[in-house]
Amino acid sequence: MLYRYSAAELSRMLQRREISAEELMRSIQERMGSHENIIGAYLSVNENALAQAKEIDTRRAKGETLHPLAGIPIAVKDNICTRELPTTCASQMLSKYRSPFDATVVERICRAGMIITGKTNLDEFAMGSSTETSCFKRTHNPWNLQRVPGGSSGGSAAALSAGETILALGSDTGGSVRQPASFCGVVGLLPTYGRVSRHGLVAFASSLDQIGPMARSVEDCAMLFSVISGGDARDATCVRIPPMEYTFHTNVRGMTIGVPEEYFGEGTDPYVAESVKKALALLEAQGAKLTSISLPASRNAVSAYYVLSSAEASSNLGRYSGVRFGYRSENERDLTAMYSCTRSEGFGEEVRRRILLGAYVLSAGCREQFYQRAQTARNQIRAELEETFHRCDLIAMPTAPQCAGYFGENAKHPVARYRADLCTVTANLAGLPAISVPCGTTPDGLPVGLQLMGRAFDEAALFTAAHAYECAVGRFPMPEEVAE
Amino acid sequence: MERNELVALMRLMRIEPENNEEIETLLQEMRAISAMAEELPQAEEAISQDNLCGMQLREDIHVACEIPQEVLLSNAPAVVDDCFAVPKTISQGGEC
Repeated sequence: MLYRYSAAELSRMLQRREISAEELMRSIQERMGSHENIIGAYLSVNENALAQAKEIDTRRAKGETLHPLAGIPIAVKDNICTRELPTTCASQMLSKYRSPFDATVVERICRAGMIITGKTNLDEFAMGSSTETSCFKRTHNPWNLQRVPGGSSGGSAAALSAGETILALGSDTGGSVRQPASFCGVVGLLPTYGRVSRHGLVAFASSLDQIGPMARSVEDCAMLFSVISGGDARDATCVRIPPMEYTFHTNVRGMTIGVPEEYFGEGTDPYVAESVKKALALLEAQGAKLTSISLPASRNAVSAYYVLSSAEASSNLGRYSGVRFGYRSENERDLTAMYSCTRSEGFGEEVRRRILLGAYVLSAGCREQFYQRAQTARNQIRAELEETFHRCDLIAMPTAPQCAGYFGENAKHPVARYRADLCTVTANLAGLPAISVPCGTTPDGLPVGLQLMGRAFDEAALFTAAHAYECAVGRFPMPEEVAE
Repeated sequence: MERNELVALMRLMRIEPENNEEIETLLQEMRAISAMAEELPQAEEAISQDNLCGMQLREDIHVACEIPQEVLLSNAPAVVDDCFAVPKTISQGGEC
């Protein structure tokens, strides 16, 4: 049952030769074999994983000094380019696409000796909050198979939660790492914008996208973050600072945590609010100081996010025309017909909606009405948070106002779905780091996530507080064995 | 948003509706989303490049691509003489 251990524990066991990388990978593959037909987390599987694990063992046996995470299995969200496996973005548009290069984060995890288990399911082109818009398959929440795993990194979160991997990578544009982490009872980090290279991440909204580490413990999340973070000449927005090396401690004494009233009121499940407040009380008992704050500008966050992200998406997805790569319609009467039929047939409903919304808000006559107002709102949110962080070290709130919903909920009401992103989009708009750590369950047995937001480039404070909480309550359990 | 605006937008983005019902559904959704966006504050100032993300980008230095041409072409739906092949620009028929 090696899949139950954390990456840190497995790393120590591997280094002490108590287990081999081959044994570990077999344990994961057995778990995938017995559960993947129920969970549906993966879109493709690495057939060479076992051979790669044996190679790690051979290198270790020869006395080679390996990275602490060498031999650890990791799942990669299927909007992050990999040469050896398809990169589909869960879309018909890229169903047969094989990237000619590895994303920078993939190069880094492979250089560290981690072994990719496979590519995980997501909402199509990362647009969604439930992984339901994937055009290939449905992913089920391991805590309750009738519920969604969240999105858009639902496949990565579900694979971690079900023990089908030890570590995972996701991407977060408006909460797509943190929210599924919360729904599936795992840890997920949105790094500061520019901390992790976006080279090889299929673009959705370029000023908001970030690749984030996901794991079953805060320590594992920090270890993975230290591998993937750091400057990259191939990404103009990646800040040229070295990767973060984090030394773990749990001292929150003197840390001031702001608790904004806007995120605990109407619309927030009372059990969610209660779990988060209990978690904060624990941190207070360890010496942190809680202070009530207000973030009035954040009431515009969802509207600003959907205007700006859709505008950027409509531009980014203009490249899918059936010419250089991807799906091409069989209707090739002429160039115009090919473009129209390719894009109409290749994109799903949610992607089409967002492209149209983005084009609309950028169109003549609407740009001032929507786009510039959204930019103004974004600036106000950023300024308000900057001022707040003069008084607080962290800001705490639920990761999501509700727990994981049932499949098909709000399918006909996109605005209702969008408003549920209230708790997460603020960090993306401001470019700030935020972490979700599981902090309890509802009476239905569904996980609840505590979200901590920090100053730019202060992931260390997030890890400290999250680790302090986790040490106080113990690592969050895995769900009971999934019923057949 | 009016119906003709939505149809014009769809044609601009090269997305053809499957039927009238889809247009009506999309119209309702776009109106609801636009109403949500109406909650935004008035633009207070002209948006300058400095305001947009507060980041300093690196210098615009060419970073060489080491991927061979044949590899880059391998994902193309159609290739002729090392070029991307596309249908002729004009046909005698209408659009799909």
